[in-house]
Amino acid sequence: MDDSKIIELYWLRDEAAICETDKKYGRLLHSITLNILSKFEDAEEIVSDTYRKAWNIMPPQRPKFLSAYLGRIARNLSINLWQKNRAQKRYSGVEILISELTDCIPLSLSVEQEIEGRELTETINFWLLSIPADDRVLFIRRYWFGDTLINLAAECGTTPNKLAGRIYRLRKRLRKFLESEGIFI
Amino acid sequence: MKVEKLFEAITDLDDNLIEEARLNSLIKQSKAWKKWTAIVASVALVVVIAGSALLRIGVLIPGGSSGSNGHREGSVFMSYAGPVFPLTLSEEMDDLSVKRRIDFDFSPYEPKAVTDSSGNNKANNYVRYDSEAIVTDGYDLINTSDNDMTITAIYPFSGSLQDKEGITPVVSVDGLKIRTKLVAGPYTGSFEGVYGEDSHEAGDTYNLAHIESWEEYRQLLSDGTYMDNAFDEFPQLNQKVTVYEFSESTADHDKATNPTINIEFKMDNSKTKIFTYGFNGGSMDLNNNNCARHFSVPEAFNPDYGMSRYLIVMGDDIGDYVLQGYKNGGCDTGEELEGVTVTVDRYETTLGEVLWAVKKQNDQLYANDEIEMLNETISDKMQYELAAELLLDYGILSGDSKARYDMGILEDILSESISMDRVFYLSFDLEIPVGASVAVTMNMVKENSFDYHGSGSDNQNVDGYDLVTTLGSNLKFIEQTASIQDYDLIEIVRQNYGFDLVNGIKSVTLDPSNEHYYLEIRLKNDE
Repeated sequence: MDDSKIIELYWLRDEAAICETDKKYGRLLHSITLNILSKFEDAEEIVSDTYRKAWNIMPPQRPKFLSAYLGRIARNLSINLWQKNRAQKRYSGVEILISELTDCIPLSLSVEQEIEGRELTETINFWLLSIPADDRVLFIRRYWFGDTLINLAAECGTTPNKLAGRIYRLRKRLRKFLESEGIFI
Repeated sequence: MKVEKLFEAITDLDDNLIEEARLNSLIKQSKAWKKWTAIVASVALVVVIAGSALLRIGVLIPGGSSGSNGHREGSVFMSYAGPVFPLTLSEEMDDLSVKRRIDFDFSPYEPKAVTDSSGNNKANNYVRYDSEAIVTDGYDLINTSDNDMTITAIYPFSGSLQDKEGITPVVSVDGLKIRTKLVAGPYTGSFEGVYGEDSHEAGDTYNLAHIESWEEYRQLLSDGTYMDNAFDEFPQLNQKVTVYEFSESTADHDKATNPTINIEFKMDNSKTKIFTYGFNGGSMDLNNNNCARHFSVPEAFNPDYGMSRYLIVMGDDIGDYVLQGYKNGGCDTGEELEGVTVTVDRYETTLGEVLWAVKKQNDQLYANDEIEMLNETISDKMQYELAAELLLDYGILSGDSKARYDMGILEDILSESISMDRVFYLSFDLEIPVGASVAVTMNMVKENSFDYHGSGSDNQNVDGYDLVTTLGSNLKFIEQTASIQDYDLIEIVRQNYGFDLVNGIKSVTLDPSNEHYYLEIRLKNDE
């Protein structure tokens, strides 16, 4: 079903909206949450919560891209659950992603004002627009969707080691860009 | 925690970018068709091809790097930083004796405490480690002739334009820093298929294959032709071209998610070459000579708003063309969008002129401190010339063209000429009076060779530093020595120098007949 029709179902308060959302985006949302939390039960819970939250905020909201909108909800809920439970549970998915992203943290000894989250996002958006489209897709697939190296490598017909090298260079480029912009996280 | 903040910032990335990544998976190349999308600022849909005669163009290029350890002399690392090369001269001198002393200083491995004391957070302390060595490569050049000697010395180092700022050696003569002339060689690596070195598809040259070992540098540099090429004049791009410049594009963005302008035209691939700048995708039907290119109409907040796009025709002109607006980058029948406008100017010039124009526009579009820093250290002219060299060496004008560049996308040429690995040369003149000697020192930061975190390699956390004693050099060495400053920070995992840190042997004499020395270290207690 077309996104606009699914959104219309939400606005009509028709519970078929949840069913249609699950049919179209259930697999994607499970994948995003599972890639972060690595625990099937927790991922299931997050996907259900995502649908509940979507039901509560449409209306009044009418997202332009339903997939990114729902994915962002699922990702935020997953991060919240990880932060809440990290003392008790080990979520290998997010920990690997976080560990890789340490390569992107710029070095700064300055006492300048720490960048706001929104501004940091805008800076990364701009950096992503400045790199080739295939690199942009790869970065987002890895760090937004949380796709595994093995799956990404299989998809583009290379080895995980080779792909890891390419992603490492991307992280390094992002760090250099943030440093060049005087960004202090 | 900083990295969590970064992770959360990624959550809020622009919806268009998320959608682009969702719709454009990393696609395996097949023999039947190729596909190209390069979406800027908004979403374009990948188009499904109907009919075997229709050839869609374009690539999402998977990356390539290297294998792991298991090497005759030291490890082969997944990321290879290249060796430290020896000094050489523009011309061989019989009566010049040379002593070389190289020092590896591992003080950068000292953990650095970084304090975040910014306003709205309580102070947090972080520890940062740098995996690089400070290398001092020193030479005593002794004039044993009966005459004063004037020589041009040349010092090679590997890297890319974007790395150059951090890795360029500082040259001193008798303790005083001197000015040097920088020369850049062409791309040092080769090309491989999307399946890496195992690719069996003929002409599959979509990926860069970087140099992975010192032996590959030996193959590249030992006969001197690479250095000769580096010092040659850059080629001129005097080819006549016809340019179609697209500007002032407009569309009602409330009527479509990604209003797109498509230009369709006829061209004979054997008589016409097409280059583009600012286009997002296209198609080509080789049987019927039908060709198309398209770009998204930017909104006022997009960085590329107001930017011209260029369709550059070399050879036979394209003749009549059809412009049509579409709702998205698919440009499919039934998805037409009315009210999309654009101004097209046609003029004739040379390929060099238009490459220069798009380079300037590209710099302006992506202007930031990094670009400015690059422009301060590498002249615009040299950046342009390296892009021109890449275009002629491997682009569609080359007799050895690579699939990676076969769409004639000038953005790819411009960005890749900055990021691709090459060997640079610093050249400088020296005068050595009869019977005297001059001390020349190159001081530099040398990046590590390493295996990637999470790769499962036995060599994780091991950093490699290679040295070649004579490769590419015409100097007559009477002695080479090496020393190490470890500060009790590191331990040696593998080497062929003869250092023994435990027993205090930190200085050794090298055998110049041994071409290659390797040193593999890691932080103590970092297994």
